[in-house]
Amino acid sequence: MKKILGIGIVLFLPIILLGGTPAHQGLASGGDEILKKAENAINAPKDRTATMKLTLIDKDGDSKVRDIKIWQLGKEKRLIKFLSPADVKGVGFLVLSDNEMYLYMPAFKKIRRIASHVKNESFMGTDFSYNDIGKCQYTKDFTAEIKEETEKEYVLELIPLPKSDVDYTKLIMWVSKSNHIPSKVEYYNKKGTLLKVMKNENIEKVDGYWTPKKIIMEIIKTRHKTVMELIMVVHDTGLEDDIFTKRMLKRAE
Amino acid sequence: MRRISIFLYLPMLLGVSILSSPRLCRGEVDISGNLKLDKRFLITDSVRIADYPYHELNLKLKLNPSQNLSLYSSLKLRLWDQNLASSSADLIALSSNYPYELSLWEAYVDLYSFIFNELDLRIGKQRIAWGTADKLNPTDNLNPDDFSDPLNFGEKVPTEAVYATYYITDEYNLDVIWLPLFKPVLLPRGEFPLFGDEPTFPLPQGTNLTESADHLTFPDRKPENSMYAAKFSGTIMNLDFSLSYFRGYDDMPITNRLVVTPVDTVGNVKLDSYLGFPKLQAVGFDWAGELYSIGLWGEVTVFLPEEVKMEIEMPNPADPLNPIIQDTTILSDDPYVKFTLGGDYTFKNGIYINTQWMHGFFTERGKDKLEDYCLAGIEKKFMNDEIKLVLTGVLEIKDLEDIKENYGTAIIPEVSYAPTDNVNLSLGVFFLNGRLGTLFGTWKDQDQIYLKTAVNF
Repeated sequence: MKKILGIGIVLFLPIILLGGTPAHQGLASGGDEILKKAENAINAPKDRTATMKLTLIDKDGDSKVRDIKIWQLGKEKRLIKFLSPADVKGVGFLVLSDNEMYLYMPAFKKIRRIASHVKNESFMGTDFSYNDIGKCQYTKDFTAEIKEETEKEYVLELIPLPKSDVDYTKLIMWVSKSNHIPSKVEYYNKKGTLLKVMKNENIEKVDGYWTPKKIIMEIIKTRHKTVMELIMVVHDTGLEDDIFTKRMLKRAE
Repeated sequence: MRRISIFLYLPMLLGVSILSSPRLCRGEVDISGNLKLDKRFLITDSVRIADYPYHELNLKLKLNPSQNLSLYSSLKLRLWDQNLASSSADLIALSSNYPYELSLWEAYVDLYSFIFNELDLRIGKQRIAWGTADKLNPTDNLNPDDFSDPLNFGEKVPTEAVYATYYITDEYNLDVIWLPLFKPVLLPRGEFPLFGDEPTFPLPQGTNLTESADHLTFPDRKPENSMYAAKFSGTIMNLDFSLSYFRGYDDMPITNRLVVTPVDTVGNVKLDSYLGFPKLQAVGFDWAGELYSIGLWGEVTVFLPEEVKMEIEMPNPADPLNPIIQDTTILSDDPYVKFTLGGDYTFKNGIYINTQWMHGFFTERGKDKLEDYCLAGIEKKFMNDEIKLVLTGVLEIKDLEDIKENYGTAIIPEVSYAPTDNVNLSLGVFFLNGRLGTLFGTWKDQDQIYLKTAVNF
């Protein structure tokens, strides 16, 4: 199955979706080790419930707003409901694993399986793809090298592993030395062209986890971007597997 | 005064009770809806405005008073652009110039974890959407067809039902449905040859048909005429599937008696057609999965119809007191199979394709009367998804062994534009054509340009 665009975005989206890392981890020497620490930081909380505001901004500055609610358990399971605007309200998205995703469209009263080819597409008009929303593990697809080290950050270059079928030739990632939360990632295609950039901003501790309150994803070519702002979040509330089912996809509010 | 069914009364009563009881009303009433405007211009020969499309206002109310209780209802107002006035006396009525229909389209209560934690119950007027295919669902037989807009295939009318779902595990569930009352198909207003070429029979020599009428006979409103269905669904090795069974009635009437009666002594006759709804059982199977990133799905249903014989009663010139009576089988009880196979894929440049092969159109029934339809659609979005271009083509094949003389085509290009959230404008054309005797051949005078506006709120 293709793990195309956005596999890298997922490196950081989970930071929002699962929370950040406790701010007491030591420095790493190798790139892979730092990448592993970043992954652990991303997946630190057991579960998370959050509401978010997504602002889609085009190159002329015109904007559209979507509100979503998200429930997450572990590294993979996610349930997302659109709260607004009216034309997407009630739409639900369930991620059970890397290759098992479902979309609920209330207008059709139907749950539809999402095939892999869609995962690279824009998720409900945002600059995040279905894959971005669905994945939160990346060490199995990339190996990392430290390209630069500053007083506050490591700069990693992520190269796809031979068995990986991601569409990027590389990612450049800036990782904080203090909390291992990446502050910025660049995504390059096979021609070496910069495709998109993601930034994590307003990183704060919530329930003991470092959490970016704002994520900005920008597509370079179209200069279109999506700003994801965290409105409410709680961690480790004891969400169970039975939340992440097709039964709940239809009824979750 | 008409009696209100308990299936509608229960949700309404619960709704009123909850709304009037702030202590119970934990959640707010969620009001949403949409307005859909639809104008069609028939473009065969001269341009004229089609009379069967309608504008539609949908108002939806939802309330979640508690974690295990939810109420939902929707009101649908349809407005036709027709003039029904036939005399000046009719002009005093607004409904003559602006015919409309208001319907409590859906009204149901959801009871989650009813008695058992694994059991959900939905009671009331509801849309039951079955099947994994894209709109062409031969397993979707519980609600009657809504052919109000005959070119918007796959629409259904919600009906009263008790729908129980038992979740055996997170991956397997069993649905059991009771539909206490049979409801028939909804047909288009205005003139549209929905069923293609209909069978005819010869009138006696020397007679001339001057009047005709048809008479519907519904199944008696008895518990034994209730309809039932069940479905077992699950996921195995990343493949979603379901096996279903339905026992009820065909929602499209079929003629079971024709009576030709003389109205005078010079050969003029009247035709009375009597139509009924044959019993029907359907066993279905559907699945959805993927192969090499291509989305794939399929549905197949074996229909087990009741045999329907048509009795034709005609005047007997030789013995006027003993009319001629003929019997002919109009629907065999031989099982017949409808199926849909399809797939979709999105290329890296954003072009989306969707193709389906359907055996048996919505209006077709009976062994040897099913045609094949190959559909293909291509779609591309532009300008941050604000503009979408879609080209859909359908090839109808009436006889696979002689396609050249037995095919029809439908070509539907469409451009849609979403200038802002919640608003969508679309402009498209239906080009319909086909050989004599095919469905699209019958519709070839229905070429049309459409302009649709949809606003959500």
